[in-house]
Amino acid sequence: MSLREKSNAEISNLLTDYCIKHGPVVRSTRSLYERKLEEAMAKDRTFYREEEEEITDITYYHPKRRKTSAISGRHHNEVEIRRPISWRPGGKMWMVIPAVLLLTALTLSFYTLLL
Amino acid sequence: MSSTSQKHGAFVAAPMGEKRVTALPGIGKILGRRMEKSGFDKANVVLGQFLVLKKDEELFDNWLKDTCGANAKQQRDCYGCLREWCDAFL
Repeated sequence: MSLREKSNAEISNLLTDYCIKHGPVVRSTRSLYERKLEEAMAKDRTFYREEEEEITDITYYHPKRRKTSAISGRHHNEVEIRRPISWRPGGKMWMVIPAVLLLTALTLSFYTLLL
Repeated sequence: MSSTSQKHGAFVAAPMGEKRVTALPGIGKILGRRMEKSGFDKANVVLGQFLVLKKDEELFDNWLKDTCGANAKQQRDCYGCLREWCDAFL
């Protein structure tokens, strides 16, 4: 239903909904208020369209631990990290660096124990 | 340099009665003709519109621009004059 088909009361209610300051909707003010409403509605549609275009990146992080046998004498405790397939800018890269550091620290500590 | 014109001074000094729309500051011959075409042939009819728009500056300026194509200065002059006239006589 276009604005032109709406009654003066409906236009007045719409103006209130859109927080547009207004006086009575009469013949001489009608076209002004219709234009203001069209502008406000167009702005609203632009806002919602921009929201729909937002794409949220979800990368799944699955740490997988695999312990080698104690009999072999090699006490490696390897932590396998499955990295996300594609490196997206702004993805969860920040989690990988501390994980690598942790792995290095663990490996070093086990070597120290062996000595 | 005075901020309001002679036209302004003359308009706000007395009740507007049946003065033509061109008596309003900011409304010259060309804008006046456009206003008359839209049915606003007298200053008191413009006053009526001013009051129906609740004396709101933005609404009145928008309406004036839509009706006769007044620029910012013309809008300012007309609004200021009507505002002052209402303060004195309404």
